[in-house]
Amino acid sequence: MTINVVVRFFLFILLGLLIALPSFSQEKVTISGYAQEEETGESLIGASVYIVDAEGTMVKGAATNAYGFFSISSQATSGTFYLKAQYIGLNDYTKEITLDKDLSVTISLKSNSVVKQEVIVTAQKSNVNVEAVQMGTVEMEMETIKELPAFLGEVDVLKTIQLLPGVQSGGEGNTGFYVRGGGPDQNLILLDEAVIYNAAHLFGFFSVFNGDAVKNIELTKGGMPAQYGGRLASVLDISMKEGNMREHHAEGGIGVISSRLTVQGPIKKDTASYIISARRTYADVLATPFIPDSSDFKGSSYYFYDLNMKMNYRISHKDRLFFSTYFGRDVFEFNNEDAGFGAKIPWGNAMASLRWNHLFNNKLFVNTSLIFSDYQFEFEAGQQDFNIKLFSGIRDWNAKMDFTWLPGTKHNVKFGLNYIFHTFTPSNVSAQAGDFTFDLGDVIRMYAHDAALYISDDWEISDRIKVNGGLRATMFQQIGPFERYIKNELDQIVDTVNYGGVNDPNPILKLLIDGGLNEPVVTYRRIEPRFAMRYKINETASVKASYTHNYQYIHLASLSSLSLPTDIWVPSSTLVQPQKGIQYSVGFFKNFFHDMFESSVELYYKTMENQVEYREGASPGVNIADNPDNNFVFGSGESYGAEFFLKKAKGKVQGWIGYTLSRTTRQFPDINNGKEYFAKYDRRHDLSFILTYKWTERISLSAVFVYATGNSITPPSRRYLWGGQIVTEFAERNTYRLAPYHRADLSATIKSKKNENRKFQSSWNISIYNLYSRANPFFIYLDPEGNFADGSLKFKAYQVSLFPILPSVTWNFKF
Amino acid sequence: MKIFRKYRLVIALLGVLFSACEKEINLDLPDAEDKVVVEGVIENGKHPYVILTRSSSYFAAVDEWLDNLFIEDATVYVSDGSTTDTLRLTFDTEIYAPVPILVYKASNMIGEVGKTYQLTVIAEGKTLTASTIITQPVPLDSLWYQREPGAEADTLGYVWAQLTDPPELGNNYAWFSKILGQNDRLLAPLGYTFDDKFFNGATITFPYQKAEDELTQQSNVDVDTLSSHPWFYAEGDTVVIKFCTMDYAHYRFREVLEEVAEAGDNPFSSPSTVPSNIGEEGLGYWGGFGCVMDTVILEPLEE
Repeated sequence: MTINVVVRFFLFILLGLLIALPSFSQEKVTISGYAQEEETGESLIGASVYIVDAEGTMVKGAATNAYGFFSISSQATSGTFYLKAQYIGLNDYTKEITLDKDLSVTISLKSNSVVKQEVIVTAQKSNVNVEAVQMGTVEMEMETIKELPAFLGEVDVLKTIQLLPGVQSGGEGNTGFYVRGGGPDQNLILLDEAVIYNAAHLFGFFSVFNGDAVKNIELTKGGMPAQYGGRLASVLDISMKEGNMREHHAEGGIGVISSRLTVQGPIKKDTASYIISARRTYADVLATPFIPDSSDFKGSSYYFYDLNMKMNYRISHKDRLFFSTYFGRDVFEFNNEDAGFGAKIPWGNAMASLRWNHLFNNKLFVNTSLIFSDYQFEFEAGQQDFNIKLFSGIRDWNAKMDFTWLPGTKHNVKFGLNYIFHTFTPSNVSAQAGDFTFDLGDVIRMYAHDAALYISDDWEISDRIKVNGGLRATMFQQIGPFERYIKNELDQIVDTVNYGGVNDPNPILKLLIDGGLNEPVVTYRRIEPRFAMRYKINETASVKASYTHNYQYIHLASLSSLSLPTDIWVPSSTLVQPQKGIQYSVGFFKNFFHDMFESSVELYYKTMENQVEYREGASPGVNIADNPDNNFVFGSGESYGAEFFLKKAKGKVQGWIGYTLSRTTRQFPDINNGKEYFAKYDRRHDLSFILTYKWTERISLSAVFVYATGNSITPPSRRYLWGGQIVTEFAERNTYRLAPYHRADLSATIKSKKNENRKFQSSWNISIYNLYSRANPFFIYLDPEGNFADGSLKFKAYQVSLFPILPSVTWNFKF
Repeated sequence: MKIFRKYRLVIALLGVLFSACEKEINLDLPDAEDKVVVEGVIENGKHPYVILTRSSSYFAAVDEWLDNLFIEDATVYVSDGSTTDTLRLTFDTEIYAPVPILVYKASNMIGEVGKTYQLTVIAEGKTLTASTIITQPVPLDSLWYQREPGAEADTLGYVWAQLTDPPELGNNYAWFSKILGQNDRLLAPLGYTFDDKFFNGATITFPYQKAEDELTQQSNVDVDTLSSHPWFYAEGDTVVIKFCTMDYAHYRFREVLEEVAEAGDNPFSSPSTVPSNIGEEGLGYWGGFGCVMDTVILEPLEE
């Protein structure tokens, strides 16, 4: 990054603000406040709020932020105006206002069922996709997600976002996702602002997000604004429900895999509320009686659970407090008494976030957060008198402040700061055989400071042109204590460089006491410019372009193409440089028939540098008594593509078609002899077709069809004999394509008859996964059969498919 | 020692949790040009030998490959820097007993500890060279048999050994075993190589399970048979153990080779390239071993 560009960006923002200043002197009014759902008091994220004149022509509009807050500034003028608000599934809100003085308002939107009338959706301000300067951003409400077919009845936000263009699935039934050619570690997954480091349960078939606890998701896959950083590919921002401010309610569901229960209600009416949501799978409980005593799986079990809890407190109109926590664990136990082998493998995430919203005035909003997040994996196994324990994880202490400032009618400025203290435990192994303890090295932890400052301005230069310029300055510093092992070509440690400091699992406390005695190991400072613009052709069409420059300081190293809990996070170090990503994108957005149809075409080109992989031939044991990054190799990546999107957003029949044509490659000097190869998640074609149909008040139907180019794998090229064994020599990396992936799902949701006298409501959801039982390749394996001695040797390849047609029923209730 | 090779559990678990189905498929792959495969061994106190075979495209017909497996018209010689011996093609019934093979064998040169040996192979219009060393052998302190409480019969168990590792780092070991009267030759059990990275200079004890004959048996050990016979030795047998040392490159080759041979167990990993010392033109390895032999009679320890 040259200083020149940095300076230009600062000038740009300064210029914008200078232009904004004169408008202070003009007569200007600000309408601000919060939007919430009338029945529950739950704040509404991304609701459209706008001012129209007496003729119904729009004057000015905005969307509510992650806390339901909005602020609209306009020229002061006389006459009658209307403040309107819209949110999916709720009735429109209208209030007569005047534009001669500032107004602070709480907008309450009533649900359709309360009003009990057929809502005729008036084609109003639903062209957010055309208006916004942001591109590559998709927001989804839980309501929409819950209507779609669910795998084994488990509603999953991560699987739903895979249906969007530019987002690729990690594989059969997998919640892992790849955005625009980026790796799974390049997605920033936030739950109420806390980073979730491993969003997957068991091999990624289910995500850690319990649908009942989630309110809203927002995915940014391109043109990442300056308030986000630390990842190259995308931001998935998930907001938890806040809890009903008016009444106590419980809801839950009983499904094939798991059961859920959520309770929520006011602690103090209209002031404070809580929500607690729990989910547990019970395959272990159900399966245990059916495992015969003779089976090797007797005594083995697997389950996972999630707990979400949130409280919020409206101290005053100006101050709100939120406390959110999540705790989830996967527990896998394996026991084989006959072989004397047993293992216990728990892993999972925990997070807590405390957030404070403060309104200085109707133009300046600040949110202050204190966040803790933790991911850990443990493995304990024993056979005979041999015992092994393994532990790995990452823990963050995170503090941030995010300001939103509306200095004039044409500017929306965001600025803030963020500091994270990371503790990485890449791997910590101990092993014993009888009385002998293996020398597996000391516990290697890695500590780092991670700080960022940012500013961005959404500037409406004219009716047609709107720009967003942003700048993010980041600093990452690995600090001691740390032991760097220097190795020779025989893989032996020949030297150790020691960096001083306090070795402690919670060094932040020690740091506070000892006053930062930790010696810096390496420091990186980077500037990340972001730019986006929109040119509005007319009310229904616009052209957008964006440029983003990102750095990523933490890296996920994986030896496997499955999402395994053993994957470890490592910081940038003296060996691992920060990943650098640059993305250019342009798009055309057009709405038809009064915004009934939304469409877009987006093109992107992206380069990624300092990508991390394990060296060829690394085995899962390489991290023991070693710095993990001693086993890494580094390279670059490239991805480009076109994304087409057509959505019907209104009416009884809704849905979308998303199609992506893309190409993603990687090039590492030490992999594949330095030749460029297709990334394992390279998909030439990726198509999703989603349809929902509200048949009657009580019955809705939905269907999903997906098609994707097969995964690329490394095929065998030769076989030979060595040491009495058949050895396989593999061809160049990822040069063979598996059969394409396609699948159709159906679902029906049937609600119980409305009974106004009864609070209890229930519904059935029937889902059919893989309707035509397509045998999609999950992986292939090679199996030489027979032997030399009798001449029966045969070489065969087998394709393994996981899920045939899988119907499931879930019963949900609410009272 | 290969304590992390438990991927087969992952696969088994997938199979149990979800009704996975599999079918045979045809991979449409281009033909790969045949390469010369070198399997050369030089051991202390023994004549060096080299087995030269041809590779084949992975899915090519097996009969055709096996009919033309051995390269019979190559020129092979080994030099220790001062003397050179030409290896002659002979018919051998011991190295891979009971399967007879063609092997190039030296008739004069005998491997000596500490010496470096240069191999030259001229075959199929190519000249391949490689070099290796015979490392200092490390004898085992003792060998014994111990009953395994988890085994299905109480007359089954493992062979245990005590080893005192020399003080310097970088000792690499290989373990071979032969049950007299049952095995036709010395065999390598699963995870037969290990190094002293985690116990340098220490005295350790460790068990080994029975080795299988890959040539004459199906090698698929599934979880269902974990507890049955293939892993355990039976009391009353006599077992010959050959315990060898080798240099790091040789160890690395055998280690990765074993990983690749097991690749069918873990279809999620990226395939490894076996680090040959033969060069781009060929495949395989020319490796030196420093070995000691020992025998153990399988009797339970006195209580």
